[in-house]
Amino acid sequence: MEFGNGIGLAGLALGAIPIIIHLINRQRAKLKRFAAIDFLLLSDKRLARRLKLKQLLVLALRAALLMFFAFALAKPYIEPDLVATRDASEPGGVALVIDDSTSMQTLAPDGRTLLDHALEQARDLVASGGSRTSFAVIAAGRPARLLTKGLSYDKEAVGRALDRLASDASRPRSGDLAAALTEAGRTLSESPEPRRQVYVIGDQAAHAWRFGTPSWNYVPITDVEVIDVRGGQPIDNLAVTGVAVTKSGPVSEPVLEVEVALVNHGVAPRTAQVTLELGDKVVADTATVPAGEPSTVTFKVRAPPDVTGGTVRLVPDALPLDDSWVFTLGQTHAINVLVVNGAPRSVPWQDELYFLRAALRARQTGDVALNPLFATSAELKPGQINAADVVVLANVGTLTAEQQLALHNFVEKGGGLLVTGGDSFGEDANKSYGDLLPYPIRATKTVAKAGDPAAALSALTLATASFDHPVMQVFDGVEDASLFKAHVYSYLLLDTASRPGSRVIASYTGGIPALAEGVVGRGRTMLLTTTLDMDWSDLAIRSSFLPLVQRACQYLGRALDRPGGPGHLVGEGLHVPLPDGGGPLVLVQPDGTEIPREETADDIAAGSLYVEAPDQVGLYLLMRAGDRRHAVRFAVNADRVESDLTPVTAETERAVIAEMTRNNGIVPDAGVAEPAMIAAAAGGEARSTILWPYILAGLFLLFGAEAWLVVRS
Amino acid sequence: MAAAPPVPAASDGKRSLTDPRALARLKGVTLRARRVVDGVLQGLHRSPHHGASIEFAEHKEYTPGDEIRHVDWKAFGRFDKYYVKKYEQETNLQAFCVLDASASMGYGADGTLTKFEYAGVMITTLAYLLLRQQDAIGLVKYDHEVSEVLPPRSRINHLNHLTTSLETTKVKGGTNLEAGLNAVVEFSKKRGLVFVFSDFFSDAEKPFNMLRHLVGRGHQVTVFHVLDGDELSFPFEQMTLFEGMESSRRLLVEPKLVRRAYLKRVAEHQELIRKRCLDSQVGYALVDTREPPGEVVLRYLRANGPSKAGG
Repeated sequence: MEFGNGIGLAGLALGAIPIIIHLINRQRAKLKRFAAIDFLLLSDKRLARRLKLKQLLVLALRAALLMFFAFALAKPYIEPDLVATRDASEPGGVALVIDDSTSMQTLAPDGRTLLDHALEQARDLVASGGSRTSFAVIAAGRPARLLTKGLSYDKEAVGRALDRLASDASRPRSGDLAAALTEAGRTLSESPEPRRQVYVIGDQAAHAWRFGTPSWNYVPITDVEVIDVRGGQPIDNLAVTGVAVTKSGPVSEPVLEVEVALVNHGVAPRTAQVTLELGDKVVADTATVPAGEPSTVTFKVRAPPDVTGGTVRLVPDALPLDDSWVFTLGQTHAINVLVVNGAPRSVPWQDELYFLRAALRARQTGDVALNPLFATSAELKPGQINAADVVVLANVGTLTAEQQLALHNFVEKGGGLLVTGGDSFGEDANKSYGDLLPYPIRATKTVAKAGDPAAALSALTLATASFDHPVMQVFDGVEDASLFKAHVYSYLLLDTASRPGSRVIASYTGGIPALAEGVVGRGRTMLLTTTLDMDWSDLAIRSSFLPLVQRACQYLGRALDRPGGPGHLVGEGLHVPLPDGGGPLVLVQPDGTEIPREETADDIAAGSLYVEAPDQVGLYLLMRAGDRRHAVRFAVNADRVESDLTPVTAETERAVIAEMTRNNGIVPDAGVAEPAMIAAAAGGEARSTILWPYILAGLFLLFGAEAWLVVRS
Repeated sequence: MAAAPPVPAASDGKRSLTDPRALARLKGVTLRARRVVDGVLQGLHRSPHHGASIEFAEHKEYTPGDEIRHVDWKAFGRFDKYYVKKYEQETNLQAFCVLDASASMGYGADGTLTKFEYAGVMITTLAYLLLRQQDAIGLVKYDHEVSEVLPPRSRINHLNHLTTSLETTKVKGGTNLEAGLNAVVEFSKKRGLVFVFSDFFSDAEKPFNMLRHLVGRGHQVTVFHVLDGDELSFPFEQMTLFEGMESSRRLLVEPKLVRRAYLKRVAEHQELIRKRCLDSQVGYALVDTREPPGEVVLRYLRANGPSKAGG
C-alpha cells in the first residue's frame, strides 16, 4: 500500500484522543450516591458485562473514526500488481520461464525443493489455461532452453516438458534469466493471439536479475508476472565458496595448507563444522561465520601418499549443493593461450615473443596451467582462434576482416584478448580492431630512444595501478616492485573518453594509460600500451614481467574469477591437458560413467582436449584406457553465485521488466494494451486503486454504528 | 413508564411557595407543613367535602366500670334506669403513617427535598388535617427494622410529637416494610387508614402479603410510592461514578449509554408496584418529589374524601 500524503499518517495519533478523554473523564468522574443503582444494571452481571463491552466498543469506534479520518487524509492507494491475475484462462500465448538453476534445489520448509514448488505453480497455470491458450516452457538454468516445440496448445505436451524439467533437476546449473527471457520474447512473437503473457517462476534471487537487460523490442508482451515460490522469505545458507591449496615440504609426502573460504548468506551468524577429506584421512574444525560475511578456515595437514584430491564438506543445510567443494592437488586443466607474433625476427632475442615465450612456459602455480601456442599474424586462422581460451596479439597492427570477425566472435562468446603495442600500429589500427580495443588509439608517442644512455632520465615509469584488479593484486603491498621501475620509452596514446565497460588499470607518470581493460559481449580485452620486447621498454627484463603476463592470461582465461581460488564450474567448458601415454582417451565422470573421447590432430598439437560443459559436480579423470596412474584429474564445482539466496527487490524486477518492454508500445498493434509493468514502473497512478473513498464510506458506517450504539443505550 | 408529573409553576412564571425547591429552603418540617397545609385548606374550601363534627351517637345501659360522668341523668329521671351517653369521638378515624426511613429515602436531587423530607411534609400535612377534625394519627418509622412507633393520638399537641420525630430521624440502613406493617397490626386497635410512604427499592413481594393482611383486617391502605425526579428521569450527562445508598456497589458509567435501559427498568418496577397494589386492593399513588406536596395531598383527598375514607 502506498500513500499520496504520507504526512497524513501522523494523524493516526488522533486515535489516542478518545482514549485520553475517556481516561481523563474516568479520573474526573463525579461520585454520585444514587438510590436506584440496582436499576443501573449492575445487579445483573451479564448486563453489566455487556455494558462494559458496549462502552469499550463505543470507545474503539470513536478511536477508529479519528484514525480512519487521518488514514483517509493520507490518501492511501494500492499499487497495481505486476499482473492483474494469475490466470491463464484467457486466449493468448503464455511463456512459463522456470528457474532450474542450482539455487532452486534449496529445500523449502515443507521438505520439497523450490523447483518442485515452481513446477507445481506452472502445472496449475497450465491447468487453468483455456482451449485457446498456448504455452511454452522455458528453463532459465544455463543454457536457457525451450522445452516445448514453440507455443503449444497441447497441455499434455506441456506437462511432459515440465516432467522433463523435473527429471533433469538434479543437474547443477548457473542461472541465465536474461537468455530465458529473450527466448520467451522470441517464442511469444509467434503467438497468433494478441494476449502474450510471461510468468517468471523461481526463487527470484537477486543475482538472477543482475544482467544487461535484453529487450523485447517489437514483441508486444501484454503482461509479466513474477512468481516468487518462496514468498520473498529469506533462507539461511552457509556455503563453501572455494578452496586454495598450497604445497610445501617433500614431493612424496607434501604438507598441505588448505584454505577453505566460507560465506554466510543468512541473516544470523552460523557456527558449522568444516570437514576436510583427503583419501581416508578426515580432519575437522569449527568455524563461526558472521551473517552476510565471508570467512576462512585453514587446515595444515600432511597429504597421505597417492592422494590426488580432496573434498571439503559442511553439514548440509537448505541448499546442500554448495556445502561441499572438491579440489585436486595438481594442475588439472590448462588455458590455451594463442600468442600471435606481429613482428617475428630471425634473431631469437630480437623476436617480439622472446621474453613472453619464456614467461608463459615458466613454472606456474595453482590448478591452472597456461598452455601457450604460437602463430604469426600472417598465418592466423579462425580455427586457431576458436581452439584458444586467450589470444595475445603482440605488436599486431592490422587484422584482416576475417581475423577481425573471428576474434570478435571469439571474445563475444567469452574469450580473452590481450593486445600489446609496437611499431606495427599505424593510423588504420583503430579501424582494423574496431571495438576489440578498450579505447581507441590516438597516436604513438616516443619519449626517449631505447639504448640511449640518457633515456632513463626522460623515460616513463608506471606510477599508479588499481590493486583491486586481479591482475595487479599480486603487486599490492610489494615494496619496490620492479614493475614500477621499468622504463618505457614509447607507448600508444589512448583516447580515454568514456566507454562503457572500459577502464584503465595502470598508468604511467602523468596519468598516461599503460594497461587498459574492456568488455565485448561475455569476453574481456586488455591493451598494454608498450611492447613485450625491449624495443619500447625494459619491462620484459624486469622480475615483475612474468607474474604480470601470467596473471593477465589467467585473468583473461577467467582462471582468477573463482571465488576462493582456482577451480572449475559446472556448465563451463575447459581445456584439459592430454594424459601421457598412448591409447584411446576416456573421460571418467564423478558418478563413474566412462565416456570415450577422440583426440584430433589439433588437440594433439595443442596438447589439450576441450571438455564441453561438464554437468556433474566432483572429480573428473581424463585418462588413457586402463592407465589410471597417468590420468589427469580436474575438479568441477557448482556455481557459488547461486548460493546467495537474497531475494531481489520489487523495484529491480520492475525496472528490468519495464526496460525489456520499453519499446513495445511502438508496435502498431491497436489491439494490444501496453504491458502492465510499464504503468507500474512509471508510478502506476492510472491503474492504482484509490482507497480513500472507501475509507470515507467506512467512516460514515462507523459514525452510524457509534450513533446507533449510543442511542440504543 | 408513566410520564413524570409536570412541575407546577405559578401562572406568572414564578415558582410556587409550596414548590419542593422553595420548601427545601425552609428549615424544619413544621414550617414546611404549615405552608403546605395553608394551600391544602384553600383547596378544600373549594371542595364539596367538609369535615365531620363530633356528635352524640347512642345510649348504652350502664354497667360497672363505665364512667360516672357519662351517665345521662335526664334519662335516669325519665326511665329510672342508668344510661350512659356514647359519643362519636370513639368512632373517630384512626390513621397510621408507615414511613420508610432507609438510606435510599435520603436521596434528593440537588437543591430540593429528599424523599424522606418530602414524605415527612406530606405526613405532617395529613396529620394536621386529621387532628383538626379530632381524628387520631400514629407513625411507624422503619429501616431494616422498626425504629420508632408513635401510637395514634387525636390531641392537637400530638402533632408536635410527630414533627419532632420526623425532624430528628436520620435515614440509614436497608428496608423492611414488612416489619413496619407488623407494627401497625400490633398497635392498631380498630380499622383505620394506613398510609405507606416508601420508594419500594427492596423486595417487592413480601410487603404485599402483609398489606393484603391489613386490608383483610378492614384497613384502608394507601401506598405513596415516593420517587425522586432524578430517579424518574435520570438526567445525568457527564461520566459519573454511581454509588449505592444501601450498599457499597459502584458503577462508572457514561449515563447516556444506560439511560434507556434504566428508565425502562424503573418504569417496569413502578408498574409492578402499582399492579401489586391494585391486586391487593391497596390504593396507589406515585409521588414525584418535583411536584408540590400539597398538590399530591389534595389529589389524594379529592379522590379519597372523608366519606370515602371513613371506613
